[in-house]
Amino acid sequence: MESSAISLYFRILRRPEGISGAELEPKAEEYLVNLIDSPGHIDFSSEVSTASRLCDGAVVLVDAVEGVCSQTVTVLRQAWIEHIKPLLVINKIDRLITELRLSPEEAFDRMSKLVEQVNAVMGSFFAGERMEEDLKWREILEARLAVTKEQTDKGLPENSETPDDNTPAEFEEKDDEEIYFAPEKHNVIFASAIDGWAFTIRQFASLYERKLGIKKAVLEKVLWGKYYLDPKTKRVLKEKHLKGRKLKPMFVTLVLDIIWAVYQSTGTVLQQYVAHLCFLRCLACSAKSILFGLRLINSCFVEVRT
Amino acid sequence: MFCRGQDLEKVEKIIKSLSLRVLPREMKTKDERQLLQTIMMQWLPLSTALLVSVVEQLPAPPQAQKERMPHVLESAPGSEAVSEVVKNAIFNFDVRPEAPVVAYVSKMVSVPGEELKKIRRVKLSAAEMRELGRKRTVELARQIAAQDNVAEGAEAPGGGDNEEPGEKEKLEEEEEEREHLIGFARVYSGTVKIGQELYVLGPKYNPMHPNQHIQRVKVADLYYMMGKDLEALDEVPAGNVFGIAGLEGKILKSGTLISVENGGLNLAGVNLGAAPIVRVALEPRNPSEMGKLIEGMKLLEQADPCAEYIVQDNGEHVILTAGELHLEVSCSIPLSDRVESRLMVPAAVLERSQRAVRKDRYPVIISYRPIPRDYRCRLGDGFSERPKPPSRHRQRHNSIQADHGQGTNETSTARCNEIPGQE
Repeated sequence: MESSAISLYFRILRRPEGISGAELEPKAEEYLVNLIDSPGHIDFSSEVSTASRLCDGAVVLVDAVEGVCSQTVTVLRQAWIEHIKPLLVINKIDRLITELRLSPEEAFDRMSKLVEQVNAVMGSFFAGERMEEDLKWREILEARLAVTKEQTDKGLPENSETPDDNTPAEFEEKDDEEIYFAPEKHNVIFASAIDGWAFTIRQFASLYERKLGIKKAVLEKVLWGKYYLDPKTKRVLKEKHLKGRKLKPMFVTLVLDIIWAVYQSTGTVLQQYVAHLCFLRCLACSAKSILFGLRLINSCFVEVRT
Repeated sequence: MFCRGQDLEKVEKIIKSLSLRVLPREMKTKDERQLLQTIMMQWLPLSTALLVSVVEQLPAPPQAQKERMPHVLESAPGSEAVSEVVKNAIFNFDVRPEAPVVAYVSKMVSVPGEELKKIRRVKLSAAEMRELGRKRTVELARQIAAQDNVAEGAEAPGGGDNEEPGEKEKLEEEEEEREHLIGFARVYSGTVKIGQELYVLGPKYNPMHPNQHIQRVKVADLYYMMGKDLEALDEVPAGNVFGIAGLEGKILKSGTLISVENGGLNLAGVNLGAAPIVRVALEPRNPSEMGKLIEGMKLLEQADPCAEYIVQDNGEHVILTAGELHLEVSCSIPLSDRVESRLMVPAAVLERSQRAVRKDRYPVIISYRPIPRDYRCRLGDGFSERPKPPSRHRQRHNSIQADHGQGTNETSTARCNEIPGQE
């Protein structure tokens, strides 16, 4: 279990964007992606930290069922320290279907909460850095104040100068919008590695562009989040325009429902569920035997005492 | 399986609406998951989604270095003394051959010599073929190359003719048995070539004192890292991750490679790794294999960023690891695989400082537990004897509880349990 590297050659055919209508020749783009896989266990966190210095970007995997764990935070922090841009992969979505047996809506809810959790972690790093910078700024300010005070003590007393006038500038607030994960910003990937599939919002946006007659750029913004599709007018509605109607979010109707349907119709849900139950039963059996063993030991002790 | 929840009609409908092509043979499969995977892999392939996102979202090396390297440079020791040439080359991602080479080696990977030999053989014979092809016909060249392959192996043309064949073979055999350490590195600027002379900067290097912790090395070989396999390369331009041979003994764990002597940048200076906390003393089952074991432990120290090897005052050879899993996976297994000496874990040694942690309220009790069975099998059958646990632990903490006591008759790793209210 060591971190290992692999170089991937990736060729993609892409249609140049910009001119609408005109069908342009797809252009081949070639890439070489150097990938380093590092283990997630806490014992190997040193591997992660040394590998992160080699990299320009990171792909952070989060289990859809387990959510943010302590090592997720460690890895995200490492990326933050090294100024590496992370991508978030919500993996094991199949577990939401087969093990937890969630409905697409519940799964959507869970995934949005998960993205929020990860963003909360990122926000805490940002807040920490902001506080540090704020302190530095204050120190500079105080030093300057002390200097001006000395000057005024020596020279002419200037009453009109209040400390506020002396501030170098207002504390510069940095924009933290960039650091957060959001599926509409295409830095979140939904995946089930065991079943070999993954998707981004962009993929579905281009898939539905023609079908719905909505522009891709618009679709990319509304496919994630609380946006609803009016089935009659084929228009995108916000939550407040629903007027009491019960509609499912677009991400559920256009994306998750289909995936769920594939899992259900192929029978995978039932098969996996039974396998899961069997596993739980085995666990229960072993738990029983342990209990039995403990009781046996206890009874022995009682006998010795009497 | 007794539960067949398949609904093939619906599956067909879905396949049609997604405009996928699934063979009838695949439709009839008994395994539900198989069918699902066929559909999903075709519809939303994992590799495309991930690679497209990586390519679109993550910055390419030139851009990333421009944004990132100033921060990295700031945290590097003695960053004021780094020369402008080096700085500019890194920030601007200078790939030109004359640009200064800056590379960071994050760890050393140990590879059996046999494997390296194989790679080199393939590479050299290809080069020979090209050379011969220029002079003679292709047919002839092929024949000769084939002959060379059989007779001389990886011998460079014209080299080592004077040696006796028997001796040569012996040397080669020894070479194959040996472990080789390959540096796991990335180039930030310039192009690394085979035969190039570079300077190795140790983790303690500081550009303020440019004469200390600096060594000269010659790049022996360059490799592509393809998971466990390696592929030979002639040169590596900036932005790539690669394997580099010829650093053995020059770099311990991590270091920086640079082509200019003065004003170098130390990228390995900040130790980011967690300190190893689990200490285990090791000794071979057969005392005559001590040499092999020490060699293995030294290799391990170089290869693993978080493993340390020390010899204690009492003569125990101790290995320090990050945790029990780390000990098992990256220390015990490679050691028992490669050194082929049976290992014993006589008793775990805990540092005094660790025992003193919060002694006032929570004395630390050391208890011994048997090692899991499969682990024991791997280490060999050296566990039937009962080596004594260090007596000082027993005297101090005679309150080891009865249920923990059963473990003391077997050798074990130490566990550090905090039990409030003892002593």
